Amino acid sequence: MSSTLTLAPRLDSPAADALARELAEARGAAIRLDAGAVTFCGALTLQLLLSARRQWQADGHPFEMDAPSQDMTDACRLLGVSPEDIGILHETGEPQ
Amino acid sequence: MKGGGADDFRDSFFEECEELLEAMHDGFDQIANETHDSETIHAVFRAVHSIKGGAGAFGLDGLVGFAHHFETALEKVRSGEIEADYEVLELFKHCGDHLSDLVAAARDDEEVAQETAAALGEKLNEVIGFDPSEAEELPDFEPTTLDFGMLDLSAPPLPAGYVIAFTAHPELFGSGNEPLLLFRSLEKLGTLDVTCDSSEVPPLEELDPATCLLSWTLRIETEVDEVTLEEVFEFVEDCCEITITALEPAEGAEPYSLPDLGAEESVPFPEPPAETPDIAEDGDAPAGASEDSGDLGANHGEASADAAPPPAKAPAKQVKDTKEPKEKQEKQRGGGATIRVDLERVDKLINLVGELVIKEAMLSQSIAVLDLPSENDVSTGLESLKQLAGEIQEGVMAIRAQPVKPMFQRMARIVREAASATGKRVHFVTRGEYTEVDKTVIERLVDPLTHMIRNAVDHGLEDTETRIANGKNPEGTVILSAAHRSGRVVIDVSDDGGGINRPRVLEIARDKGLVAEDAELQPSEIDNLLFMPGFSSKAEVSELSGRGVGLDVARSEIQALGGRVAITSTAGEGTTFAISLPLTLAVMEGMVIDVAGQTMVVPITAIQETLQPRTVAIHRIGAQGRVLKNRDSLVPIVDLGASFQFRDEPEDLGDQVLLLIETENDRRCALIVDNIQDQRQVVIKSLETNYRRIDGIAAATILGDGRIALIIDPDSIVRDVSIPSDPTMQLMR
Repeated sequence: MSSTLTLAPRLDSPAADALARELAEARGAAIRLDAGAVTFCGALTLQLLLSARRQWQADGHPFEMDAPSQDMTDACRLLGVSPEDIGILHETGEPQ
Repeated sequence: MKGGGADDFRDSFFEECEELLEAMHDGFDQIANETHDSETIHAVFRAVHSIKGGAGAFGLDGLVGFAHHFETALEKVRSGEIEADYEVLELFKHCGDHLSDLVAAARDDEEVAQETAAALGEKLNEVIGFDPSEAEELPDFEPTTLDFGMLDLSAPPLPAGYVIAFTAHPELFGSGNEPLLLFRSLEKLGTLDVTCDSSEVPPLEELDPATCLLSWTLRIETEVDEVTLEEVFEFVEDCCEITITALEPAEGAEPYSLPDLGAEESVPFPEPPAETPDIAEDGDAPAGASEDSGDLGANHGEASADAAPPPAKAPAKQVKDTKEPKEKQEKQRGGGATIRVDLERVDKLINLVGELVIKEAMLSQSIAVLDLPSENDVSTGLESLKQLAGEIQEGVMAIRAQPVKPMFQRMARIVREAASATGKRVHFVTRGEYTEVDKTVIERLVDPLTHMIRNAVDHGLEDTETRIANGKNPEGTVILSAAHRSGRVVIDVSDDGGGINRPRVLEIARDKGLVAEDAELQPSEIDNLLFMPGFSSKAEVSELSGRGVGLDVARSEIQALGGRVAITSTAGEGTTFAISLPLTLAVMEGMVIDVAGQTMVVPITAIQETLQPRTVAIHRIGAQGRVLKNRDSLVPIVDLGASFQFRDEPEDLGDQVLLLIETENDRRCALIVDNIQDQRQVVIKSLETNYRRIDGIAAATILGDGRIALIIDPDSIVRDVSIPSDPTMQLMR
């Protein structure tokens, strides 16, 4: 069983709380995050995604981010976070 | 950057801009008045530079572009390459105005006409001796993001860089800031490489999403100096830890200099960021700088371009250590530590203090009813309480009080614009700009004052030819002054023009039927005709060498503030409008009186003296008119009760009291009241806000017994007084 979570376009600091709750609810199974619509991802949300992936790894479930938008990968680059660390396997918006 | 904390961040930037613009205008004024020193132009440059830096962080490209262009021209003056003569200074002032417009437009999300920036840009190019048409042939040309075609004439880039260690505290996010945006701003300054340490981040179940456990190491290769890098973090310096370390310069290159901002005034100021590296960095031009850049490099001769290379940077420096320019600015402004407080909170406090004063009056009244012995603890305690409440009230009022200076600076701009529009040369002088007045009073005074200032330039001052013909200085003078006088603030707008053309004013007033054909008016009465509604429209007044544009509106606005306007004029010498205003709109000193069974309050500032009718000479004029002889003049007597239609005017004044009141127009009248209760500070409650405007009434207040008392408006009472027409009587003055 796996679930897909579509990320909101604006993932700024105030958005981190809500996303944390959504992620917490999705625990216990594989998850795919759809980051295609993300236009902004701030440091707190990126940290949350890092933390979530660590949680999923610890739980032994897959954690993947699909088709991240350019803004999403840009945020990773500017904040010095490796895309793999938040489950991005392919950096283009095209599914591979 | 919208929403919640981000807005605070933005607001804070725009508040800073206000201060920086004020400092900039100050600098120009000092240069114009020749009261400047060599630091002045640095301060102006810094102000513009800081606005540019902040604007860059918000992506306000239009503002950044113009500020940069402006700053480039300022640099020419700063370096001594060009002289700030009258023309240059005027251009700079206009640029300062436009910069203010751009800031305001950015703040309000509005558009600004590009033409102004383009026109000013061209003029700035002339000042800095830059010809865009030649520019493309220069070998070092590099296109920039600016609209003005500015060139990069600077030296080849220096291989300099920094390592920045950055950790965000929770408050950084709480205040709407975001590392991503800071890093994005940094990226614009050079080649940025970001490394994130996420080792502290726990799995989701242990994470507090509001706490940032990430820390960053940013390596930037850039030509900009450390101060420019620090500016990126200027708004978050209190909620993060940041260490900037200079990297060793590459072999063979001159060390990248950091100007010693704390040193002597000849030391240059840091240069613009690398995204617009148009100007050679002060003192850091490498030995091999091209001939093309020689002229710019030469500017910095006094900045020891040939001197020994500056000392190597300290290996690591906390941001706060290099904040000296700003602190220096603060000191120059005479400001100590300050905090920004939401105006709403201050107003709430003022309201509460107002309530406290009312409650205290009520308590006084209740104690009086108890008929306690004269020396009792309750009364003594209450007296101390009153004193404390008075001090609190004064302190709270002082919070709202602001110097009129920013408003005066706005008026300087009005003068410039009016002077440009009319082709007159105007010397604008301000006095008493640190006079403090209630913030609301200041804000609401802007419009009427604008009217008066425009009027002074447009209609008060003669044109240059006339002035020369009359043997006057071709440059007209407009003086705007503020001072505290008898618990009020007096603001004067004076010009040294031709004075009011009274025969013409009277003629117009007669034509319009505003005065009777045969009316004999005193000069001051003729002058006051200008304030009459319907006296003039702009078209008619422009034919008149007098004045009149919107003055009735200006006067009503001032009256709505509890203020008064008086006008004095001397033919050939000029005209003065004197505005007298209350220091605050919250409380006033008033005389509590009884009239026809009503309790009312008369503002103490209007009362000249109180008289017993029995002891003074009262004359009858005509059927109903009565005048009081007072110090060789005759003053009309008005029954306050009758004027509010509470009663018919009493025949016998034996038991009454006369209040001799005087207005700003030097008009006087004696009010008949039944009894004087007390003189005290009353809390002003607006009738207009809570009910509607009533002629003759300025506001209301709440008395100690909880009843409402109306505060009378002496001006409107005196204005309505019909002047006795007995020709044998001399009119009251």
